Amino acid sequence: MKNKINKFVNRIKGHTELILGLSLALPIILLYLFGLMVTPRKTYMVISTSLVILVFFVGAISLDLEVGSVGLPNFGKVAFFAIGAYTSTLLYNYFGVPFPVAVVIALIVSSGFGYLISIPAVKLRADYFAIMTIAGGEVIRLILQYEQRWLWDPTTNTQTIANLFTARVSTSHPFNKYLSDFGITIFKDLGLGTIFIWELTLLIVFIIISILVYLFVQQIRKSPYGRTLRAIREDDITVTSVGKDVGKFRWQVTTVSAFIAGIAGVMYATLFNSLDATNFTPGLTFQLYYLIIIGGLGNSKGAFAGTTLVTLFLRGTAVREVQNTIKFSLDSDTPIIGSILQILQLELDVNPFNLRFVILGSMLIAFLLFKPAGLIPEPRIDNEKYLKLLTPEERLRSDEAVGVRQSLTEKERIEVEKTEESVL
Amino acid sequence: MRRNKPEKFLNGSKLIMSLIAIDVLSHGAIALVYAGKLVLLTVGLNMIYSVLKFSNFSHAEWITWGMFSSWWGLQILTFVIPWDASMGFIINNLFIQATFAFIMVGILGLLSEILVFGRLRKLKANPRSFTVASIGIGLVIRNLLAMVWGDFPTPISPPKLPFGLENIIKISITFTYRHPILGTQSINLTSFKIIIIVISIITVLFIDYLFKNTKFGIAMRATSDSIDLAQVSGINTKRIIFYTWFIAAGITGFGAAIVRATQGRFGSTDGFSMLLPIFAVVILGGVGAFRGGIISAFIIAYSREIAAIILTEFQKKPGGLEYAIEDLLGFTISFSPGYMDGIGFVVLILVLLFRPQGIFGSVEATRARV
Amino acid sequence: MERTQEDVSLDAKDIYKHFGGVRALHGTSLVVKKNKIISLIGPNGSGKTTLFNVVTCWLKKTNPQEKKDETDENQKNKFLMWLTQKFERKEKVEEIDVGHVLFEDKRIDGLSTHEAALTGMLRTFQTTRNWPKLTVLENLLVAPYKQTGESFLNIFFRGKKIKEEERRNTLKALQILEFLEITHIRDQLGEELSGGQLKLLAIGRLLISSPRLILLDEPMAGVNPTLGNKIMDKIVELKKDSTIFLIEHNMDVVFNYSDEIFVMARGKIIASGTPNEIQENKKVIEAYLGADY
Repeated sequence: MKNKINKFVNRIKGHTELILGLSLALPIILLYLFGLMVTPRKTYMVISTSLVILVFFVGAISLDLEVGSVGLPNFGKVAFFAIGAYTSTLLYNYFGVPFPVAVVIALIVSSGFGYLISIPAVKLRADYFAIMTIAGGEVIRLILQYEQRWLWDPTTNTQTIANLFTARVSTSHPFNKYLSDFGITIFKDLGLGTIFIWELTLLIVFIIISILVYLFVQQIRKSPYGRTLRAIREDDITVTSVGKDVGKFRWQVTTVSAFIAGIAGVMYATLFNSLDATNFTPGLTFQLYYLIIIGGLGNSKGAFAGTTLVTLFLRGTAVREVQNTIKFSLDSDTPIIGSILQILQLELDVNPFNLRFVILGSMLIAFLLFKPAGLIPEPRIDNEKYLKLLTPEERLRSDEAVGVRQSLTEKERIEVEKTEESVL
Repeated sequence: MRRNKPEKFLNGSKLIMSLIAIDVLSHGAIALVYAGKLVLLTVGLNMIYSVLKFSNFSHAEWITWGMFSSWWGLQILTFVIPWDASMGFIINNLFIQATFAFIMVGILGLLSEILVFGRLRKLKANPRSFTVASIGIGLVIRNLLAMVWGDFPTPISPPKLPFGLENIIKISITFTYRHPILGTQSINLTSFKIIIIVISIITVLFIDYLFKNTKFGIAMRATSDSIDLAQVSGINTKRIIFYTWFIAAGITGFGAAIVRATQGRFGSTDGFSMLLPIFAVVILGGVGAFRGGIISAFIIAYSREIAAIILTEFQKKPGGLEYAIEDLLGFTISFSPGYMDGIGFVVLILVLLFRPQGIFGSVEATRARV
Repeated sequence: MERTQEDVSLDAKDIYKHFGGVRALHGTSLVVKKNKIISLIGPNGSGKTTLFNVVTCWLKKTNPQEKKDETDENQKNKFLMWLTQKFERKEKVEEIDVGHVLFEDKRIDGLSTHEAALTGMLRTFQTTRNWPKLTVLENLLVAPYKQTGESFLNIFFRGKKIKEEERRNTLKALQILEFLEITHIRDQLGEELSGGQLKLLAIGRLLISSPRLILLDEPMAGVNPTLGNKIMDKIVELKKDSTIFLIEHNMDVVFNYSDEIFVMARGKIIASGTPNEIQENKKVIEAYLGADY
């Protein structure tokens, strides 16, 4: 009996990460569900949240590749979003370039900037590189915001650029219909609100893109290339000493990462009917950092977990009804502490809009202090994938030397464990 | 859009006329004050950068908190002490407010060290974690401030200097001069603006002296070089680090309070918007070079002012620089005032690309490898 | 003794290296013959590691006429110097290229660090380095030259070739682990190893690329005598395929295992010869006991 309890406890201990993840995830999911229940536009909320999660997931993967895999703290990521978004939109709007071509050109431009970033990366200390990228990102934003001659919308003469592609396609004939028009009336009947076909299509497209990006990056991570990247992250001097050109890996990573960020930028643009440069501030880059640090550096699953949790949290608290519910003031009229507050002349206006960032910031710091590897840490590598390549005899020989019983068949392993147990 | 020759000539000469007629003195004075503000607000960042070796992004919130806490101090005093004209100078006293801000922001700095950075240091985290942590702290503080105070309007009345200094020393400089060709040249420096300049220089000299000539300063530098070696040499590194945070944060708060006195409004994002120019000043001057910081502040302030002149006074009017260049080259970028702030960023990028140690800093600190 | 060109692995001639006022190397010349164990000894600060660094292209050699670099004096001076440098006319000094480094008759002193390593000349460092979060096996697998799987496009289009190459490299890595007698740590992470194991791993990392010249910087540092002898015995086995050039302070090892010894002091080679010749060399004894240090 005692044995069984011990085993159970051990099993739980082995899953501390899962438990931590759940204890964090559950309140957030509940909060989101609460928001969902309270808002009348349920389906819309679910779809828009999913869209945002997917966009930021792609962005997070891009940042994680740079920061988590090669260790380059690029704090100007938002600029690549902007480049992807603006290039594709401007080309489509004003030059009549068909949308797919505009996207391809946007990705090329974005990758080009990614290549440029690698040049100063060699010379600079990590946090100087960080500052330079922030400054660079802001310069790009300023140009997008103030370049009246070249980049402003000629019809409105403001820096807000109408996203004609989204506007046109989403209102074109097949897309401008509600899902319920096609006979799926469940949504309306259940009072879940309705959605346009366009949004659903967008969701499907985004899911496909995200999966492709995920697979693409996984392929990189699992290859010898990815292994060398990890080696560079840990000690690039040794990598140079065995004859590899670290600089080449670096610019390749920044270029690929910029390419992916460009994809995220285009996705981001299609979510809105207009582009406003004031959305592309360093705050967005910081948000990406929160995602990957909370989720887990160095692996895409972590990026997804982080993105999902943080976005659910932020979206759940953004719902108007939630905001109205969790809103109260502490001031001189409050019982007990009121008089103290009056002397101190303080008035606390607790509202979810600000409170959520206080919580988010605290979460970030808590993770940095107590779980820097994030919710889903980078998995510990084992040699399985290399040993798999050997013939069974070669493998057995090596395993014997190591003293490992991995090569036993399942049946033999149970036998051995049984005998061990009886000895205990 | 081809303009014929006579028109171009007209535009060109009008351009030159407006060039001469710039109010150089006024712009110079404005830039001087801005430089003073920069200096005052960058010393703290420079200290943390050089002693603790990471970019402290929560510096922005130190400024914001400095502004808020000085105002808060005023509120408390106003409430506690019944308002009376004669008591005016105690309640609404600039230096009391600034000192209060010093203490409050200093406490914030201390708390950050105790709760966050000290622990990170024990975990031997890499500098990037410190930076991200400082971003997180900034996020928390910014939103807490927004919740407690929101964005604030003009205070009751501008704070006064202690002991009626402004009555004794008529240190307001106002000067206007009209000239037929040179146009209007004027300076308008109120007492606060002059104080900013004076105090900023005093502060820098003080910190510089502290670093170089006191035992404390040597201990700080030893700690920054190698914390283990410093500990083994008998330096109480923990205490040194606490003092560093307190002083750096405190000075920033002090400066922020004084800066706030010259502004009509302030809000929870004020500090954040000044962050990059402040980093530009520190890096241009050189990390750890405080006196160099004065020079770099001047460079950044004056280049911003020059950019402002070019972008506003020369813009769009007949004879505006934008059209002049268009005539010359056939095309041009737009000269919109929004680019004014961009100067600081561009300077920052150029400095990092070509001379990362700044004017007076040391090269070793900038290398990519340890 | 005739030295033909085919015998020579490394030929360094007239190497100068200045660091902002400090003359680390002052006209160092030496020749390392193939398939021998050559040791470089000398008091601390004589320039041994600097020589290694220049030979392996981690540092660029400087020319003797080069003006004294600005010393890191007073900050103000530096600013003034920078200003004046910007404004004064630079005289055209004829830069005579002094000295060279030849590896197997090919000039290598202009190459970048990793290019030099690719020529077949690999080194270790004074403080043993490794990749802590990679397994021991992976520590070895990263090392081989120009892997197909390291080219970005190949990852997606040459899967089969990569797999075969990985298989070959894995087998070779396992062989090396066996040779060094550290097979049992195959699955451990770099950060879990002991100092001695790290040293052996560092050597293994070199071996997987089959280098023709191996440079070891103080291989015996911090290693107990038994393990040290084991390591040296392995190194002797490597002699038939490679040349070994090592910096070492442990005189037992140096005198027992070297075929030839070079002695450095204050940036110059002051003596060379067989262990017996060196032991009786007066200059060497002076240098070590510090006649005028």
